[in-house]
Amino acid sequence: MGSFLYEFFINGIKKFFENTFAQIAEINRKYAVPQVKTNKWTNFALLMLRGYLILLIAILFLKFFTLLK
Amino acid sequence: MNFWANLFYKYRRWWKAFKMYLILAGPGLIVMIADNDAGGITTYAATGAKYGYHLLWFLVILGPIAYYVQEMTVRLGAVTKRGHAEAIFFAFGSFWGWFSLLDLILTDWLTLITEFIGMTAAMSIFHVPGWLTVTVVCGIMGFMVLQGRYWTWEKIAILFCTVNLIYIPAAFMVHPSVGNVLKNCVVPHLPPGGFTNELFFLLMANVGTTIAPWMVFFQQSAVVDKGMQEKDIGMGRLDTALGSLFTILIATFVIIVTGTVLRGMNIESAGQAAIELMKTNKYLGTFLAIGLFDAGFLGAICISLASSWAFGEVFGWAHSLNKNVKEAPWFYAFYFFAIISAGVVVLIPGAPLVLITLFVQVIAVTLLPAALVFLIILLNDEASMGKYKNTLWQNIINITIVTAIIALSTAYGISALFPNLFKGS
Repeated sequence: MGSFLYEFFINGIKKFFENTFAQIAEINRKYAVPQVKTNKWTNFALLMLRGYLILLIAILFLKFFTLLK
Repeated sequence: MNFWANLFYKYRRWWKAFKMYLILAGPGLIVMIADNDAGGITTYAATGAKYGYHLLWFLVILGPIAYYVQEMTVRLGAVTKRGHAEAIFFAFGSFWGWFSLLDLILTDWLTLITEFIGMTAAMSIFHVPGWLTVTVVCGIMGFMVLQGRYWTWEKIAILFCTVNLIYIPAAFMVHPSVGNVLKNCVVPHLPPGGFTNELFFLLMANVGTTIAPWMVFFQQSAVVDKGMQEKDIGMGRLDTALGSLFTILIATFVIIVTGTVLRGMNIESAGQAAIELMKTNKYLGTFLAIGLFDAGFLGAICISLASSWAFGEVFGWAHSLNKNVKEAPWFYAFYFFAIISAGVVVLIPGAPLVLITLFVQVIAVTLLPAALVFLIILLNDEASMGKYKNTLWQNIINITIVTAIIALSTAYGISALFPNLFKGS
């Protein structure tokens, strides 16, 4: 009984993760190529967005280390 | 005879348009009124208590700003028939898609916790234990989605929106000076004491509570789930405009109540404001507590749906309130997981609720700029938007608004992380 439950749960969890990863891989394939028509302004906006997010992450790290101190 | 015939014709035309509006009304009204969630009511209560009526003009400005941002989601949803999460994946690829989706899920879940904090705080004023509030709220939220029709969910949500109007009689009960209120609504000015860090923080908090990332995702998905078409964009705009009018009206009336009765007090939460109001007038306190509960509830029903819709869109699950549990099991499973887990967190003794509230502001700041920038880019994509793409004026207005919101919300997020940073002056 114990081994049956163990097998059931282990297989269940394994199957769940396999399915999820397969779905994620499928989504990544489906949306691999951005469909929006870009120009210099959109590229600039996306570049600024990346810079902004990197800056925010840096600030979060700064806060984290300030707290550690 | 011709006059009466014309009058009758006009009446029929208006009546037909009104009936059409009643059919199409919903996403704009609900998202805007739910925007005054538990955190929003706390912000308005604190603003009124600290500065009286002096910042009413600022709220009046925020109304059109909220409208312009949300109006874009109506067009995008009605034309592309995609929710915002799916639209980002489609247009910008999986990197930005996953970033937005995961950030949204985290922000929404944390915000959901703050809504439960607000609801339990409001009900604790009536001596209702937290576990009972959480159980009943989850039950009602479950009932709302399980009846199997978007239309029914929307009408129940609108019913809860009308409860939010409770602040209007509350404001009349405190006998405010109408002339003074009107003057403060239309004349921009700084409160006595000038521009201080505290004022700056409250202004940013008001902006942060008026434009939230979940609103963009919610309204676009709601427009799609409702099945709105391109021809319905006009009514969608009217719905959003009325919603923004109501959101500002409600915020104004909260400020009038606390600005009249609690002037000069430091208010940390709307629950505290309700308790203080109880000491003056028990009906006032009761009204504020009911309003706070309703605000938290409206926020919770919208935020949980925004996440479930977004996940369903991306994973390709059936994700409509028009589907039953058998047809869309993952959509409902995600919805219930979100609300139950958020409710349970509030009940955990010693849970870091203050830290969570703080964290929401910071995480929202990482998502809001991305969601707004994507919105502008998507609205300029002629291939998918056709004649509904942004005009030059719409771009000028929206880009100005988005730039200002990004700057202010970033300052707000940073000030939440480093509270002493802006206390230099």
